Amino acid sequence: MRKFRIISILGPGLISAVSGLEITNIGVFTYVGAIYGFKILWIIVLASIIIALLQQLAVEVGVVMREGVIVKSRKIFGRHLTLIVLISLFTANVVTIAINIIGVSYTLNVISGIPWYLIAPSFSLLLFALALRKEYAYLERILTLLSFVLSTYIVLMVYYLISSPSSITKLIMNLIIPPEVDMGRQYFIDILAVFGAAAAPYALIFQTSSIIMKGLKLHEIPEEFIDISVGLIFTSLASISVAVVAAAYAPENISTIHDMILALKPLGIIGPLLFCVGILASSTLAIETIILCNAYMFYEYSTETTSLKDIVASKLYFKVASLTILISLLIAFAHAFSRNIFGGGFADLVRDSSILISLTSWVPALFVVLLYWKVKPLASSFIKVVSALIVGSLIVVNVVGMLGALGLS
Amino acid sequence: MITMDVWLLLRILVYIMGGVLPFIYNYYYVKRKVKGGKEVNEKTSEENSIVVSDFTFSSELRGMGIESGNTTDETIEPVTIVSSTSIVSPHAYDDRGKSNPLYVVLLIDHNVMRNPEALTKMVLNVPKIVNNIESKFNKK
Repeated sequence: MRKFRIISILGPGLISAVSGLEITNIGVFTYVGAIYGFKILWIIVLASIIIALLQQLAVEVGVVMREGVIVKSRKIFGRHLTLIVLISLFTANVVTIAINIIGVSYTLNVISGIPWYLIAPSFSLLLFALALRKEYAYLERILTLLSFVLSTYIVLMVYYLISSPSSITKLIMNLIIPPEVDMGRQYFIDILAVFGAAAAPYALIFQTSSIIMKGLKLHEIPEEFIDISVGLIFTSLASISVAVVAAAYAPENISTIHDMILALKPLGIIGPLLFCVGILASSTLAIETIILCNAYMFYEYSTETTSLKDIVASKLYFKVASLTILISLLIAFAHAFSRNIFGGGFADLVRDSSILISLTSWVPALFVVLLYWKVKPLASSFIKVVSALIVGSLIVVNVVGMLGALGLS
Repeated sequence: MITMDVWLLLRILVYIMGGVLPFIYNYYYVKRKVKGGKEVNEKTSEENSIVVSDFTFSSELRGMGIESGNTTDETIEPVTIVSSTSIVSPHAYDDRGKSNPLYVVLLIDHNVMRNPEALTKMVLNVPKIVNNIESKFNKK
């Protein structure tokens, strides 16, 4: 029975980790993998572990408080402070959607030759139509299965490690012992981008609310933690595979989306096709989830935690979905055109977005930690201190990275 | 002046203390803490059997009514306990991690008892009703 339990967790764990690889992750991990090689891997793993720890805290908050992060923050810290969480999350979410719209448009441009600025609004319309669907489960399953083609990265990593056995030791050593790197300005900026790509701050809010809706009991928390651990292993595996494949096959001066697709060159002509299908499916999946999350946030801010079904049926959902897609599309155009004018390729676009996501993601993380401090009787003093240190470090990394990006350090 | 070896040690320390150790520690800490909650749940199952025995008591009352000949429609029959459950609210925990379970007893009148469809619907709604009560309690 235990074996079946493990298989029942591992299967969906692998699928959800791979389908979670949207353009932000793939773009940033390909970029840092191509530049730093294996030396950046430990930071990818560390960022994933920190996110998983914050997810653990979010689960405890959800189970004990029986209210979502936004509702509870509003009641404890007041409307004004909670509005900061709302704005920062909304910013991170629309930036994530914007870069996904650009990513899909650029990818389809490479494949079809149609200008990206024509694809972007069409894709946004499609997203809007999908967001208004009442029955989402069937579509979600199809998109998840389609995005599973991105497991190609894991297959390619295994192929590379088998064809080059000496790199296995190198990989393990770089994962266990943080390697020596030149800690310059660029390094801090790239660390910030890695944290931004791994963060997915909306997941923290979503997780708490879904825990409440599931009606999880106290004694079921360890099982939920096992699910998070399995998710951590697979997310790390998927992220590491992208960086390893980029280190092995992508050109060092990575700039355009074409360079990123080149990382899949051992697959020949199928490589770009798989990349296109995978990105289209995983980005659509991510965007639809983020739109739901935005609706969730605004609903919780104005009323109470409720089921997804009620939120989708509410009038607020239509307004939030249309507003989110419209703002994201405007950001996508503004960002892409400004990079066209001032210079920089798709790698720069992804890095910019990830840095902005990282800059905003510490706010919800801070609120989850603050709520965790009030969780009785599950809160441990050790974890209280460590989580405060982690959020403190996130703020420091963000400040240093931002100063670096502005050329002030 | 910090040597390179100390830097390496610092990096490993950040890696372990900043992520790996707290993640694993929190799992075992919570697992140990909720063990107490599980014991309480087992205890409440026993208590439930006492509450369920009230069903027999109530049926006896009904039987008494029949024996005494009060079977006309005008007679108000005694209400029957058809289901009971207990919940452990996280807010009921004291500082030592022990909890005081809440008991929820559903009282269903004879009109519902005579209607199998309505009765089935009501019994199936028990978990939902319990969740509502629990969330209302937690809000307070």
